[in-house]
Amino acid sequence: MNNGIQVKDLTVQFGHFTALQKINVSFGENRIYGLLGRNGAGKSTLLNAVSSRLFPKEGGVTIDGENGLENDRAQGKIYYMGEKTLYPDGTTVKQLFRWSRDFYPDFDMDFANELSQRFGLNPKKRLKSLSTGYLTIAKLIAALAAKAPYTFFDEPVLGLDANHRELFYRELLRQYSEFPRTIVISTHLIEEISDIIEQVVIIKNGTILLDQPVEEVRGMGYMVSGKAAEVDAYCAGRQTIGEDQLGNLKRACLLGTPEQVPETLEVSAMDLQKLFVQLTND
Amino acid sequence: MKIMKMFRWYWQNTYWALVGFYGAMLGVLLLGSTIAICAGESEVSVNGFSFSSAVMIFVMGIVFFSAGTRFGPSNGASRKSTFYGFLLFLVTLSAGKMLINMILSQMGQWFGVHTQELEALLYPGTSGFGGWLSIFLCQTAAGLATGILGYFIGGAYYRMNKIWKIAVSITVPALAAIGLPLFVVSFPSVAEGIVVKLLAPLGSWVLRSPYCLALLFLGFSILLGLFCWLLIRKAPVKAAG
Repeated sequence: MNNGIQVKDLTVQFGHFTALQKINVSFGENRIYGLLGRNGAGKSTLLNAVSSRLFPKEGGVTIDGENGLENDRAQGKIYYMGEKTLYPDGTTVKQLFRWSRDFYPDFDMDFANELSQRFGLNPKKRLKSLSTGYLTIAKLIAALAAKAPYTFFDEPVLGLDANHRELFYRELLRQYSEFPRTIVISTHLIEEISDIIEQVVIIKNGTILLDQPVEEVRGMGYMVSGKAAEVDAYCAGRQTIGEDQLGNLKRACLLGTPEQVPETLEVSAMDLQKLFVQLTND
Repeated sequence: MKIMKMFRWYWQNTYWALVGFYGAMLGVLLLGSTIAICAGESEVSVNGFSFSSAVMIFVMGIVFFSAGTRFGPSNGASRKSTFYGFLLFLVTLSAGKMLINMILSQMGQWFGVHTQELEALLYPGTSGFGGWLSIFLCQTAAGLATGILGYFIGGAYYRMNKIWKIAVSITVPALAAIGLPLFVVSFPSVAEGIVVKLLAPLGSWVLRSPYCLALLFLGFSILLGLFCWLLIRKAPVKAAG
């Protein structure tokens, strides 16, 4: 039975601090989710709780209909590439791949080796001796090659240069088209993933603020661009959530649907990052 | 359950430590044998195989609580699998090491080196296969107990916050070094009562047979194992440092 991951009334507390407050969210099958939120909003805590790395105070998680907490079979469907390195000190990249293969039966070693070559990662190196970027790459490759039905990426491009980031996104989409699965990407680089994700989940102060398909989110607003004076005139009396200006040219993000836009102004889809900033500002 | 996967993982992480350990042991034995043979020295003795093995197992217990709790749950294994995998690993490690120790000990004797272990000294009457088996079980249980003790200490430190870690690190040695002697001096009759009524009978029971000592170690392991389970069952996965 496959019906994705269901998180019900999940509350996580650290001492007196409530990190997640009665969260209800689901991660359906074969979709790419963007898990967004400001620092400390609870993104990593949510992923940690779903992957049973920490225990909730209340609520529960089901994975394909099974209780997800402390369940070998259910947890075996999740591969969580986190920010932190949880392997013993002397672990080499090769060992990381081997162990991942032991625990994830669909792990594709050939693919992992091929990706290592393409990223320029030496599998003989110890994780401890890798730079931040290459450590991220090693973990990314393991996560992609594991082919787990639910793959979580927490800050997947931390320390990666633009070329490697591009390569990762390309490989992610290639993998996704060849082996569809549920992918959850938690990141602050919203613009970079805005064309990849299908669903946006925004967390604010430990609660779910928004959980909608990207297209619907983009439909919440629009952008107009043109000469600064004309943009200003159009924006007057409308709800503007952000502006950029370069010389005499201006671009503004507005909530609602475009109405009576002068022909001299260009209308385009909403900038996801602008909307995110607006929604999550205190 | 992923008990066997965790079991294999623990072994994979022990491989080089074992190679180093037995490399050193063989080196010492070889040195002792060389002296015994070349110099005609009949008083060469190499002891402590089982003791040094127990120390190694103890250290592995300390290390593997945090390493296993980080690795298992972050690779889809439950705490139960992580814990049972460790227990299985510990039993096989302890038995395996003690078996190798006994073989090494026998080898040493063939080359004229005295290699009597503590248990053999405690129970001089043991002989034949039955005696060998009882000593083997006794050493295995001792290894198990020290491994569990290490795992418990590792787990306690893993679960404690910084303040508790500092408090325990200071208080426990202080209690042992100052508190215990102070107690004996302050309450000599109580201390004597404990020794006479509890420890002395236990000691004489243990000395009856190696199986008794093995049972004592086993009971200790089971009791501490229960506490270890309490420590790991709700342990969060947290990175080192």
